[in-house]
This record gives sequence, C-alpha cells and structure tokens, in this order.
Amino acid sequence: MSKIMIVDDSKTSRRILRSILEECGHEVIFEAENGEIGYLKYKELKPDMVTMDITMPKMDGIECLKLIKHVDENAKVVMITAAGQKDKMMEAIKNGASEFLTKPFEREIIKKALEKICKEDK
Amino acid sequence: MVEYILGDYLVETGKMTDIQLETIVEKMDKVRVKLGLIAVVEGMMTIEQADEVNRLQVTMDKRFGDIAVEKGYLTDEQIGNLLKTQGNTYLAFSQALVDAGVMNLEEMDDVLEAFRIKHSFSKSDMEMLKSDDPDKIVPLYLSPETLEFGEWIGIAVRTMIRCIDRHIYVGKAELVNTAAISKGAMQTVEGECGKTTVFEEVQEGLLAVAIIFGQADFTELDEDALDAAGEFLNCINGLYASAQSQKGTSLELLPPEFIENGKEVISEKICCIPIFIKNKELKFLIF
Repeated sequence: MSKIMIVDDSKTSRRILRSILEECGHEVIFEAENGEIGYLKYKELKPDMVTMDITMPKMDGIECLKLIKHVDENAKVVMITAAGQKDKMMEAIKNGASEFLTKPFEREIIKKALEKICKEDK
Repeated sequence: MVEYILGDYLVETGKMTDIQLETIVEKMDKVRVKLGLIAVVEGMMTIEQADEVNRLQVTMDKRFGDIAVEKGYLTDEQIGNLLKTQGNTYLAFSQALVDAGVMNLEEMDDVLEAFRIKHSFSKSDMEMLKSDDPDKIVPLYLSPETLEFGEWIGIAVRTMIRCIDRHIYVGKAELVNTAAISKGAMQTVEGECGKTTVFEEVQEGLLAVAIIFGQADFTELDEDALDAAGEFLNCINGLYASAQSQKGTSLELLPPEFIENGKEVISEKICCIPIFIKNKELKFLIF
C-alpha cells in the first residue's frame, strides 16, 4: 500500500481517481487542485507517489513535476493527461516522470501502472 | 443512432408514442450482443483479449474491431462475420416496429420515403442512414459550410457513443456568428488548427453527460456537474489533438472552463450541432 497525493484541477477526476486508488488498497493522503498547492504539499507530506494532471491552471503538471524532482530526485510522479498531448508527455519523460496514464480513467490500466511502479521500488 | 433518428420522426408524425419508442429500443438493447462477447463465445478471442480491447477503446478513437485487428487478435474477415452475427440495427428496428404492431413493412417504406423528402436526402443518403455507422450518418447532417468541422464532430460523436450512450444521434449542423450560451463547459485548443469548443446545455443533455461520465447522481448542472462535463470535453479534444498529432500538427489543450452565468460568443464561423441522448439535448459548438 502506498501513500498517494492526487494533483488535478478537476474535482471529478480527483473523485474517480481516489475511488480507484482506494479500491487498489492505496491511501490518498491529499488532493491538490493545482501544481502550486501540489508542490507545497509534497514537501510537507512526502507521499510515496503523486498522480499529476498535466493541464491545470496556475501551475501546470510539468512545472510541478520539475519542482518536485528538484527537491526529491527519487520522487515517483505518474503523469495524467488527455490523449494527444505527445509534446507534454515527452517533456515530462525528460523531467523524470515515472509513468503515464490517459484520461478517461480505466481501473485496470491504473492498477497495473501502479503495481509496476511499486515493484520497481522494491 | 438510426433507431432514434427514424423513431423520433415516427413520434413527431404521430405514428407511435414516445413510450412505444423507448420500449422498442429497450427490447432491442436486451437482444443486442456486443462484438467482444460474440467473439469470445465463438472462440475467436479470449476473455482477457476482449477485456483489453474494451479498455483500450475508452481512451482511443477506434472501433472494437479495428483495435482487435491491430492487436492481431482478429482478422478483417472475422470482424465481417461478427458484424453479420450481431446484425444491422436498422433491420432490427424495422422488425421491432412490425412485432410491436406499430406498422407493417410496406408502411415502413412509405415512412422512409416521407422522411427522405423532408430531409432532402438522396436514396444513397438513406442507405448511409440505414448502415447505422456514425461515420456515414454524421456527414449527412453537415452542410457544405460546416463540413470543415466534420472531423472534430465525428470524434465527439464517436466518443459519446463509446463513453456516454450508444443511442446518441445528431441534428443538422448550422453555421452562426453569435451564440448566447446560458450554461456549458468550454475548452480552448491552441495551435495551428486549434479552436474553442463548447458543450452547451439545452434540455438536460449536458446533465446526462455529466451524470454518466462523472459517475455521480447530479440533480442539476451545478459546478461539480460542469466539471464532469468539462472533463469529458477534455477527453474529446485530446482525441482530436491526437489525430492531428499523427498528421504532424501539435495542439495544446488549455484547462476546461465553465459557463454558469451566460456567455455570448461572437465569431466569424461558429459551427453548432445539436446532439441528442434519447429525449435530452445538448449542443456542440466549435469556433
């Protein structure tokens, strides 16, 4: 079981993602609605993993990923985006994203992605 | 799609009631078997393969058969046989009308002819309609002026069929210069062929989208429901961006916005197409 922080501006996405993560046995320790809050809370809470939406107002997911990686190079950040954001995905890979998930959320795909990251951790 | 396009016409012309239409469609749904299930029962695919294709379909603008062929699970010939087994929706609807005593097949021909004349459809257009293929039906509802928006509309309709309701259907698209939107979700897609898209509430259609996509019992189109509608719009636009990316054009999605207290949109070209989910309606705008 991992302690996970969700960073997503959409309340709907946060709610659905939380329910999937909890169903997989993980604990959601915080929900942030933009990258700015996500970064500050990462430093404070040090979650095992972060799910990070790319498209957000104020501070987007890529900027937040860069800041988190700057303070913790081992941070596990799973990027979440709608299909079609290839450039953003490439940028996130360059900046150390652990995995990618595409909206709309699919339980089995999320489950497998998280299992993979948890295994890599061991 | 075809069952509601023709069904609504039958209701409108007094040939049947709303309730009769709903009952007939419900019966059709009960006997309609999904392609994946037929493939598993016929031993063409494993349950795991069918589940995998179903999952992939949620995030891709592709049909079940296309993904299964790409994955090497089925051949084009097998897909053809599966589609034959599944049956044609138009034929099933005609049969259901006869079985329910609404009309006989000869009367059905008269109704089709009257429908054709009313919509200025050609005989080949009617064949497109009977195919129940959204890729063939949607262009029938586009005028020459709105054709340039066809790809985006096609992706929106196919995504709605996959994620919201398989009975989605459309009305005639029109080109306007202004639109007064009372409530809706809006998202701008930036780039070479980028545009702004809006899902506008008309008659509880957007609420229906929010309930299904948001997996929540929203009773009104409040901020939370608009958030769910905006997320769905984001998925559609993501698929459009993905299609453009394959052609070498990069697009960037901005965060979705909500229209809660009315907004007037003015643009040289605003393409507006009504989308129906059973008796509920919303509009999809691109400008």
